[in-house]
Amino acid sequence: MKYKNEIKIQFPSHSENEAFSRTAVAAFAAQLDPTVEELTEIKTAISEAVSNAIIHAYDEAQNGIVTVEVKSTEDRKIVMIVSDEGIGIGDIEKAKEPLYTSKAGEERSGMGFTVMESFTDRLEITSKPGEGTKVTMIKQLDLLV
Amino acid sequence: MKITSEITKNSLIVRLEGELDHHSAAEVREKIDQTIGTSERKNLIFSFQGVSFMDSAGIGVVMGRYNKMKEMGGIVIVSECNDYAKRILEMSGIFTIAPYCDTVEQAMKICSETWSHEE
Repeated sequence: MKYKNEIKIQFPSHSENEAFSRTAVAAFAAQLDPTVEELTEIKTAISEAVSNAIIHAYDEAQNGIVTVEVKSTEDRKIVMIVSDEGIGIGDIEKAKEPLYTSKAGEERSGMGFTVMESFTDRLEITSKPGEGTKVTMIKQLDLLV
Repeated sequence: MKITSEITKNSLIVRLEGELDHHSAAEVREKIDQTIGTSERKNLIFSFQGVSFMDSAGIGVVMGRYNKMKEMGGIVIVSECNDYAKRILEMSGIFTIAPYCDTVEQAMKICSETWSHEE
């Protein structure tokens, strides 16, 4: 796929960076002139993926590195890749189930992947226990009229 | 995140303002739980009117407060969400246990009816 523009940001797994990362991605996506609804969906999907990395991959330890890459295409696709080098996911299908959480008792809703899936057009997860997780989301923006 | 609470005859109204994510949820949770403890009210009404951004952490906040109020024999009502916040909460099915009202006033009416049934 040929990209029109791309960015890559890296930050330590501090929870304050959830707001930073979704705002940064929204500012990049704004170059494509998305609707307010599309922009909110992008921000929410990024927020879910980054929160997962901080909460699950690094177990809130604050010493991990989260990488967010975003690319835009000529046909108005936004490709978002959130990756970490954390504990990884053993059973991806299980993790994707609505309401499933590996951290029950901590008020986790278990809806992160469901929200990502519903707010983007494609969600791909690759993970290796002990090595890390990579979440790729693709969002097709409406064509400009 | 700004949290304002108001205590009425039979409920505790909590109004949230700002962005509700995993980071801010920790503080929100702590502050509300403190107020639940001191207010001695059984019913909790959330107003999400001032919430400009929310992800699934918001579901966890409502879910946790529901469990707390249930223990005390009370209820939680969610009100005044924007379309996005409502869409996310709806996805989790939380409204089947913590019902949704368009306004705080409607929620207060439900709380007072619940209260008078008990008396």
